[in-house]
This record gives sequence, structure tokens and C-alpha cells, in this order.
Amino acid sequence: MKRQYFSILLTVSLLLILTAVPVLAQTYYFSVDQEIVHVYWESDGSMRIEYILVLTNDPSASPLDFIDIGLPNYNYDLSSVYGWINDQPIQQVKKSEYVSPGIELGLQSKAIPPGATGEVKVLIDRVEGVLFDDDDDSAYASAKFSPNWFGSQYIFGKTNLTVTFHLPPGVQPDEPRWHASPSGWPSNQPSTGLDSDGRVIYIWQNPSANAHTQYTFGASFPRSYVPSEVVSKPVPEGELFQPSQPSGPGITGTILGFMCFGGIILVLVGIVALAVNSDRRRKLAYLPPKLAIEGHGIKRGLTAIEAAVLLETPLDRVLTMILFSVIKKGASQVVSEDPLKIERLTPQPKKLRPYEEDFLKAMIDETPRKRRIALQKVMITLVKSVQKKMKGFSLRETKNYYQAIMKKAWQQVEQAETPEVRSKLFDEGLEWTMLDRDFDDRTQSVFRTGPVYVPIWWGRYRPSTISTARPSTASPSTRAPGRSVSLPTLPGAQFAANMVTGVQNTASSMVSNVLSFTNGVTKTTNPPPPPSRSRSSWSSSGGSSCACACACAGCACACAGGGR
Amino acid sequence: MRLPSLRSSKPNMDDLTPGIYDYTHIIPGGHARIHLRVEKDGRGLLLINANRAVHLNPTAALMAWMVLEGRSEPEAVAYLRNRYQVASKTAREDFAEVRDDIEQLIKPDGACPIHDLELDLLPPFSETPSAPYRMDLALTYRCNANCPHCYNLRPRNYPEMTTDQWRRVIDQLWEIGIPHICFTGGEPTLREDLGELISHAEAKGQITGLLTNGIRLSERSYVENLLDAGLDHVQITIESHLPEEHDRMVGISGAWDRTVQGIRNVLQYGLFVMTNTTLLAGNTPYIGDTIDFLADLGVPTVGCNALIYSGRGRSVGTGIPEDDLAPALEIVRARSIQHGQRLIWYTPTQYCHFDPVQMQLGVKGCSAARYNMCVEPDGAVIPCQSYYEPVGNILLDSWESIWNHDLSLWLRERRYVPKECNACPMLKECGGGCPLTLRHQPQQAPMNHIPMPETLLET
Repeated sequence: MKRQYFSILLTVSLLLILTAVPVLAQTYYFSVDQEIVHVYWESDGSMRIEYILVLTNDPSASPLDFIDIGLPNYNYDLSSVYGWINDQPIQQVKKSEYVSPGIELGLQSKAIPPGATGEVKVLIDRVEGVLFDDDDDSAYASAKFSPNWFGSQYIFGKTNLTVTFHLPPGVQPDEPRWHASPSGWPSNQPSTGLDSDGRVIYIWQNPSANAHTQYTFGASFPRSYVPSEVVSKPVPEGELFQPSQPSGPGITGTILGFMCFGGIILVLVGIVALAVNSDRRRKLAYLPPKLAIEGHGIKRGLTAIEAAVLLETPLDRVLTMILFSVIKKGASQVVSEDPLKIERLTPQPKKLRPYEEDFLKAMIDETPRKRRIALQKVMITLVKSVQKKMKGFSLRETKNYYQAIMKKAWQQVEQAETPEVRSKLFDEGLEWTMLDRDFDDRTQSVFRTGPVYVPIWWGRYRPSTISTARPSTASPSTRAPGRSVSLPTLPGAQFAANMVTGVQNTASSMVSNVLSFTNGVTKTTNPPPPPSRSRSSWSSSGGSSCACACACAGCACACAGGGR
Repeated sequence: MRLPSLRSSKPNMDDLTPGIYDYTHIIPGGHARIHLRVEKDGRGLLLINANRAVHLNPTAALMAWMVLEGRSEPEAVAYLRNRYQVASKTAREDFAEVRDDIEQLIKPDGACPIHDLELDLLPPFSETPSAPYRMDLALTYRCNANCPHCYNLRPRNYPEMTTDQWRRVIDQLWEIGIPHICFTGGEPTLREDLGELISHAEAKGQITGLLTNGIRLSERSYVENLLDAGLDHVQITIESHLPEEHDRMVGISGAWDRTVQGIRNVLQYGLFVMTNTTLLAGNTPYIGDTIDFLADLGVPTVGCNALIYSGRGRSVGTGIPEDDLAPALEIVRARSIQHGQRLIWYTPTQYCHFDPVQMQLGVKGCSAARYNMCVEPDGAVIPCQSYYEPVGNILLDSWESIWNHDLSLWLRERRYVPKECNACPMLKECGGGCPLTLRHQPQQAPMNHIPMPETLLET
């Protein structure tokens, strides 16, 4: 997503300058061990700045007796500037003679002696005119801030620098944008959070910063959170700082820093433009979250009929599939097509599945109502059996697996090069292709042209149809139990129509009222939904319910050790 | 005017560094203990009540941490957007989904992670953590029982570490990122500093458990002492509802009375209580009655295991062959269902002989040097509490050297699996059974296949 949330405008910069005032012969050499800066961007468009500085004076240097702090502009009230040295108030706070705009803290008797460490706190309670237009997004205001830096000749050691922006109250966490961290910063991005007042904060931290480099930090936020009039256009070059003239060589380096600052402002614009691009580049590619547990994956080994239950195939079709199955196996044949009546054949094949046995028993009953109830029991038992088999296995992966089998079965049929092979593959894969919701259309499409070699079991299913078929000249190898035949052929379209009609109507000729039949099953097999939001695709239409009794295989036996 | 102290805020987002984080969440009827272990590569492991392990990719680990730290959705979205190339909508939806998943996973009656939450499924034992989920601490090999089938291979007077040394062990385990420790033995209640060590571990954030014969728990004051220390769960061994059979199997006359009293005592408190029973020739014929008896006592969770072929177990001769376990477990399972008890089966078996998955007991495979290990009384680390071959000393050797010791790898990578198992489709779950059984019961050879239901069309 293209982002154009910031370019800059301008900048609030703050310089902290330690100067040798007024005795130029003094030599200053110190480290800034820690520097913590909190910048509060207030809802009236002003800013509040808090500093904590831990300074260690070199044993050979002069006492640290004055601290000058540069300010962003002249829109501050000197009476609202406070300082502390080692938690003792600093009495001498006045306009700086050397930094303009800026203030000066005279430590007087509390100057940090050579070799000692002192903690200086500074509060600038209010500075106005510190927000500027965001060039790229007129709805945003931009704020930049550079904490202090010193002339490098005065500084030794590293600085643990932390700068925290507290954005205006009310800004929502997903609204503001940070600007890229300074070059060389350990992280290109600040950490984020909320402060105790619920304000969004950006925190930049570097334990290995130095106190003689200018670091610039920035953020943009919707300007609607501050009065419109407080957001200004960028300050023209040279207008922001007007440092006073240096009075001696001892502060030359510092003053040069100021003299350059008007130019730095321009440079910053370029830096920010680069930062926008680098900001985009630095972001990590997003990988969606993934939670996983150890357990079983695919439940293999289900029959097509069991898979049909799993895939929520309409129950009337499942019933038809069972009928086809027992007929194909030579366990029964149709003696009356409407109403449907079947008879068991002898000898019975050995490998009938429990639901096939149950089905055959149920079909014996000729009373429609009793037969329907018996068949409902068959289906209920079948559904529960599948649920049990699915325990601990992935429903999604298992469904995908059987969908893939179904697709492959179709693929084989559709890619067959001769009518014989096509007929044979269709017969072999019929149980699987029947899982397809588009079974009807695809069957008619596949057999739109050319003859179909009618499978041998078709005669046991549709004896009336087979009588119209012509004997084929070819002899596919399909073999019925105990006999070998030459298969008859039908025009493909006729076969397809018969097949589709059969699949559509067979169940109703078994149970007369399919809807009533289905309801009788699902009211038992579909318990109330699980106690949570459910992303499961188990629905009430398919005669199945959540096989939720997972084995929680990921527990990995961490409950306790056993064995005694 | 004083400069206000720096304003406190919630943990910085960048505070998510490798290590272990622990949380306690109030849930209906109690609380949930949650540990998030963040690996160096950013991946995470979420352990809920030291029982349910959820593997997280780096994004999920970050989101889980934000959820557990109580970060709001807008905060999380802002952070994600600034860190990743992701649209607000995507970040919001993904975060909300992770939050919902975690909420459900924490709930005792939450949605099924497989079928409702549809979490990705990993093959069993496919993940190699950086450290076990659980460490057993065998405080002592002394024991006030004398089980003829005991798996302990060490002498009873084995050297023991001091309390201070055990504290250091616990510290070390927390540093490694192990959220769950179980005090075992021998009989851990013979260590007078048990409560102190429990307190120490709980203060660090670990879940503590106790594996005991329950004899000392017959003293109510002792139980209260452990509870005050913060003990989370206890497993008590009871071999039979028949006093004489239990006493015979533990080798101590009168032990049954005290063990049962111990069970009664701990059940009065809010501890997670379970029992464990070793199915041997002497007690298995009556195992159904034993389960009934435990239900009458109010035991909510019952555990069973087969003989462990270690120590005296190698020669006691009362073990039940894996092929004969099914009938006994059918009874146990039926009775536990009838009583509403949870059943935990411990023993890794060869699935061609005894398939716990088909028995709906869950996947059971050897988890030594993967999900659990054991520290011996002298600080030696062994792959599990029955596999007496040290792979280092927890106080003297680096964790890396222990975790990646040849024996640790040999077990973790299942190099012990018989070649006959390699073609078996169940190998991932089964893992070839218990390595100790393989070593000491070579006659329990694996079949070269497992009958699988036929499919009508091969893919």
C-alpha cells in the first residue's frame, strides 16, 4: 500500500550546549552517560520537554558550572523553565547569552566537580509553534525533534540515549506514523506503546549513542487532534535560530554548530525524503500468523461413502452410493425400479461393510415408513462411525484429501482416449465422482458423444435400460462375479441421462420423502453447535456434525510422568 | 515544581526478546497458567497449563505476546503496520483471530483447536523445541516403598544435591525456558526441603507438580505445607482398589491406607489431582473395579501405564505384553467415560501391537529428550526418568551440550527405530515404541505393517 503520510516540514530542534562561560581558559571535557528526553506534543499544539542528563566530568577538566539549552524558537516562557541538579533546584535560570533561542542554567555552588557525576533535570513546560504541515498528507501534522549535541572536542564516551514522543491525547495507536530513526540507530523504528495517560508513545533508544552527533526524530499524526491554526508551514531557512555572536575561541566549535543549523534544516528535508523510501524498504515482509498443534493430519482409508459423509454430501446421494456399492459388489439387484425393491443375491460377497449390511437389512422391509426409519438408522450409524474415525484427525486436511481423490477420478475419466477406457474408468471411480456436487453436469458433459460401454452391474440396477442396449463388439475386461460377458453399449448421452436421473431419483424411490428422511437423520447427528465461534464448515445440511472429540495429540504427555 | 518522574507505561513492544514469559489468567472456575517461550528466531511456543502446546510462527508469537500483555487491537495494529508491510485490515483481522484463538485455547471448555479453530496440524513429534516442556527433578532416590517393578536403577543412597544447589538447578531451568517441573524420585516427599523448592520454582513462574506414592500426603499438615508453597498438581500412584494387592505391589504393608488417605486429603483442595496405576499381571484383572473405586473417591483424572523395562522392571516378569493391553484399556476407558473421568495413557507402544490412537487415548510416543527430561539427585541429566544414561550435569555443563548430546539426538531423532518400522505409515505417531522396551524385550518385534482400511482409489 502506498503510503504518503509524511514528508516534513519542519522541525523542532533542541540543542543543549555546554559552554565555557565566561572564562575561556576553562577546559570542559565530560561524558553524557545517560540522556532521557520526553517530548509531550500537547493537544493545544504546544510541546513540553523533559530532560534527564547524567554527566560525568573528566578528572582533569574544569567544573561543569553552566549549561545552555537551545530551544526550538522564541515562543516559550522563561518562567516556565525549571532545572534541578542532583534533585536540588537550580536557582539561576535565564536567557542564554550564547544560544539563541535558548536558556542557561547556572549551577553555581552545585557545579559538577572534576571526576564527579551529576544528574541534571530540565523541564521546559511550554513551547508553542512547533508543528508543521506534512507535505505528503495535508491531513497530518508533522513534528520533529533533535535532542542536544555537543562539540565533539568536549565529549568522551558513549551515551545511553532515550527519546520518547508522547503524541497528543486522543491520537489512536493506528493513526500516527513515525519517521525513520537516525542513520546508524540500532533499530530503524521506535518501539510503540501507551503511556500511563493512554497517550501513544514512540520510544527511540540507543545505548551506544554519542553526545556529539545530531540525531533527529520525527512523527506525524492527524492534525485534527490539534487546532488547525497551530500547524504552520515550514520555517524559511535562517529564521529559526539566531545564535548570538561568539565572544571567544573557546566556544567556536559549538557556535559553528549553530551557524550551520539553518542549513541543516534544509538538509533535513532531503533526509526525510530519503527516509520515506527507506522506511518502506526497511519494513519486514508480513507473514500471516500461524498457530499449529501436533496431531494427526489426514484420515486416510475412508471409503468413498464415508468420505461422502465427511464432505457433507446430501444424504439421498449417500443412500444411492450405498445402493450402487452393494449392486456393484454383487450383493443385490433391483427387482422393481419404482418403488424401488431389491433382492439379495447368493452367494453374498464376503467383504461387505457394516453400513452395506445394515442397508441390505433395512431394504428388506417393504413398509415405506418402516423402511425409511430403518434407513435413517443406517445413516445415523454411518455418520457416527465417521465421526469416530475422524477423532483426532484434521477435518480440513482430510476433506481436501478426499476432494483431491474425487478430482483425480474425474481427471482420469475426462482424459481417457477411448470410449472403452472412459467407460471403464468411470465405472471404477463412480463412488468418488459421485462426491462431486457437479456430478450431474460433468457426467453429461463427459458422455455427450460416443458410445458408453455399460458396466455389467448396470443390468442389476436398471434391467429395463440394459434391454435396449446394443451388444458391443469390444469386450472390456469388466467381470461380474462368476461370469464373463461382452458389455452392451448405449449412446453416451442416453447413458448419462439415465445415470443422472438414477442418482437424482433413486433415493426418493427408496424413502419416498427425501426431506423427511434427511431431517430424521440430521436431528440426531447434528448436535448443538460447539461453544465458540465456529470456523468449521460442518453444516446442518450434510448429515454430519463436528467430530470434535479430538485427541489433543499435541499435549505430548506433559501432564506428569507416569510409570510407578 | 518537581520534574515528574518518568511516566510508566506498559512493556515496550521491543521488549519481546527470546526467553520465557509467564501469565496467569482468571478463567471461569479458576485460573490458567500460560507460558510463552520465544525462540531466538522469533518462533514461539504457547503452553497452556503445561498441557496444551501450540506452535507459533514469528508473527503469531508476536501477536500472542501482545494479546497476553493486554495490548489493545489498535495498539497492536499500529505496531504491526509500522513493523511489517501489512494493510490495516489484514493486521486487524489477523490479530483479532489470534486473540480469539488464544482465548478459546485458554478456556477449559473452549473450542476444539482442530475442528473449530482449525489450527494447522503438525505431524506428531515433528517439532524440535530448544528445551523440553517439562523437567522432572528426581530429588532423591530414597523411597518409603519397595515396588518389585520399580524402574529405578540407582542405589537408594545415591548422592543428593543440597537445597541451594537445587535452587540453582531451578534457576537454570527457568533460564533455559522450561516452564514446568515435576518433583519425583525415589520419593520426593522424603526431602524436607520440598516445599521450599516448590516455592522457589513458583516464584520464578514455573508450574510445579509432584509425583508421589502419597504416603506422606496422609498427613494433612504436610499437604497444607505443599499447598502453601504453591504446588499446582499432584500425581499419586495407586496400584489397586484392593489393599492387599496395592501393598504387595508397593512392597509395604499398610501402604494402601495411607495412600488412599493421601488421595482423600489432596482432593479436598483445589489441586489438579490424578492417580497413576501400572497395569501388571496382579492388578489388571481387577482394573475396572479400581477405576470405579477411584471414581468413588472423586479422582477426576486417572492415569495408566505399562511396565517400564528399567531397574527391577526388567526382571520382575509381571509386565503385560503390548498385544494384551487392549482389553484392559478397553475396560479402563469404558469405566472412565462412565464416571466422567479423564484418562491419560502414558506408555509408548508399537502401534502394530497396541494402538492408542485407535483406542482413542491420543498419540503416545517416546518424548524423552524432546518434551521432557530428568535431573537426577546429583545434578546429572538423563533423557527421561527411566533412562539412566546421563547426558551431562545441569550445573556443570552447558545446556547446548546436554540438549545436543549424542544420546539426546539418538533418542530425539529416533535412531533406535527398528528397520522393520520404516515402511509403516504409523511411524510418525508410534516412533517405534519405548526404547527401553525395545532394548529389554526384543521378542516384542514390530510387525512389518499395519493393516490399513482400503481405499478404492490410490492417489
